[in-house]
Amino acid sequence: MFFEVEMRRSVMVEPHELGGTLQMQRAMLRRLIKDVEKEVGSDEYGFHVAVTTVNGVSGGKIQSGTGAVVFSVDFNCIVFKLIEDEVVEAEVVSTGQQGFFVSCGPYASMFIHRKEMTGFSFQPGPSPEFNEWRDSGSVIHPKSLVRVRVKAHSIWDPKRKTFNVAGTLNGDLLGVVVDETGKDDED
Amino acid sequence: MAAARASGGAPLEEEDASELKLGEDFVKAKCLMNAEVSLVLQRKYEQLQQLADDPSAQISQVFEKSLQYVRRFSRYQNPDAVKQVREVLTRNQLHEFEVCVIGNLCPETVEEAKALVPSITKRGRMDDEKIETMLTDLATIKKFE
Repeated sequence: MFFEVEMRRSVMVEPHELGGTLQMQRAMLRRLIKDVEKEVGSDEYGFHVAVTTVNGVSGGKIQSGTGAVVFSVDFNCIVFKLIEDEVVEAEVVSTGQQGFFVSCGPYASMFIHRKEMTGFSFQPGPSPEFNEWRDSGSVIHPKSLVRVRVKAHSIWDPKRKTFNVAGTLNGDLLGVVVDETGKDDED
Repeated sequence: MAAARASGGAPLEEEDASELKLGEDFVKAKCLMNAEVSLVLQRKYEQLQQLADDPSAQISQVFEKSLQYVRRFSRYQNPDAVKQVREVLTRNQLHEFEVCVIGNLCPETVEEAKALVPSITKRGRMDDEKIETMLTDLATIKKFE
């Protein structure tokens, strides 16, 4: 789910960027965006996607030595975090004997274990991108679209800058989705 | 089913979409549908190109993946339609989170809506008839988008 949350950060403006109000505002905004991007995400808010509005700026403390100025900025930020039990649509990225992985926005991989897809059986292909999971009506292979329920969500991994998430296909009206453009997953 | 957040520290408020518990971090947050985010990110993308010192500056992975995702998984493209969808859904005393899941998944039947967003039936807020009317309104907006 995408959320818009309020955040506060300290932003530093370098001496050479100090100038007219407009120039300083742009420098501060650029720096803020860069700092938020470098974080990638957080345990509280999930992935930090985009700064939307600046709500207030205060401070303006000069750093002795460098001459840079540090401001405290209140702003809104769009974030993306998967919530346990949420149903989301996602794209399959790989299929293997143990289950399959999907990507969901900035979440590069959510894992659906074979125990979470009752009724499906694994059909290995000549190479991994041709591996499939099939049940009586549908096929799961890389690029298939599926509807999954989020089952478990880890805390933020600061080293890999991501979360570990597990999902399930077991449940009413979960499963393979037919692309709205009319292409079915048999293509 | 409720599940506590895996954490080394003290147990925090549980996150559980089926019970509509989003955890304390999102108590004040606004939820956004993929279609709404798509409009915002597209505008942001154009702004970022203008703001960058370096015209070939790359956008972050998170931004790019999110933009790709919302482009792919938006049910509505027209900004007016998106606004109408939010109005129709919000009219029904739904929580922001429920509004956005429904707006994202566009259930076509009452059964589908209840299976995908079980919390809408809790506390007697919406009976089958109300859900049916809401879904019909959504389908109409889609038809005339």
